[in-house]
Amino acid sequence: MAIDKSLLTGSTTMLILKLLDGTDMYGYQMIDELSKQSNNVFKLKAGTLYPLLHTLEQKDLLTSYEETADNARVRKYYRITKKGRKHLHEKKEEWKTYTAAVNDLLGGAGFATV
Amino acid sequence: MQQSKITEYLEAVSQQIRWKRAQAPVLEEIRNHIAGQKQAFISEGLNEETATERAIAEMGDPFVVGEQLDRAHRPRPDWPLLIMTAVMLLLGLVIQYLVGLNIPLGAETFGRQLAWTGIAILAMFAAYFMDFTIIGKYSKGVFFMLCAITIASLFGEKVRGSSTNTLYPLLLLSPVSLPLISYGGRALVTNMFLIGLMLSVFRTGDLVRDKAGVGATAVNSSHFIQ
Repeated sequence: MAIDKSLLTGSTTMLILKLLDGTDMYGYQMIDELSKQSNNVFKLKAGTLYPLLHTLEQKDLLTSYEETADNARVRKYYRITKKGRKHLHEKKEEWKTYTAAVNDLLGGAGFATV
Repeated sequence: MQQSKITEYLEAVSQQIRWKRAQAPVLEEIRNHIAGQKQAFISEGLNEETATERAIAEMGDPFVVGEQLDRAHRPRPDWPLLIMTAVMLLLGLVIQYLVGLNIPLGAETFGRQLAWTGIAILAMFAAYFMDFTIIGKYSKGVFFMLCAITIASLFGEKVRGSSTNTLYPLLLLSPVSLPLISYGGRALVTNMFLIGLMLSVFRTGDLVRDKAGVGATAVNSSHFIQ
């Protein structure tokens, strides 16, 4: 299976899609959730997140809508699309193949499970 | 004071985004993010100044962020309009060719149509890549010049008693498009020029750049705050 050339942006895309697969979120919330769920391993910079979100939206993997929060601030929420779910599924498969291969090479059957 | 730092940051970001129409909503989202981050830092016990600075730092280098956003917001050419134009041009040529088969000098007429089509396509690209904001800037001048040309053309060469040349500047005055098919060379060129302009507007944003709202939000707010 072909692996995405840029593993880093590829995996960030996957993580964002995975987050949104659960519930709609706005940008700040995504960064927060990501660092919480990964025990502070993934500290995504906001400056990286928004360009990525906008690119994913243009590729129709996400859609967005605005909602006014309690403090009258308008928040832009993102929602995963059908195409986005499909993409997430593919990315996951790709990731499994890749990490399994890396673990195999590094040796130790214990690493091989994902 | 703290606000102006955020505005400064947003302005630096906006300068990297070339597509003006995309700027306003993008900047609003980032402004909201910084505000949210700042609130979070304040509730962690930081004072306002430190919170603002940290929130901006969290965002990352404005030039890098702006550049990435610019890449995400590349205006795309308006393909439907382009394709439609190409179809109409082709249809015009086919019709001219078929008509030419049955009349004397048909081949010559067709050859001329072919040449005009070439010129028209060049005119379209010229308008496409032209900085059309000039029209917005000197809109009154352009308008009166077109009026003058239209009136002047009334006194030009006459075909069967009518001033046919009036048609072309008039076409620019009120962009009611004549078909690309049968009005001959100059109408074709004028039309294609207009289509090029339209494509250009779709590509780069609004006709008048300084109009409030589009792309100007960051600049305006910075005036109010500083």
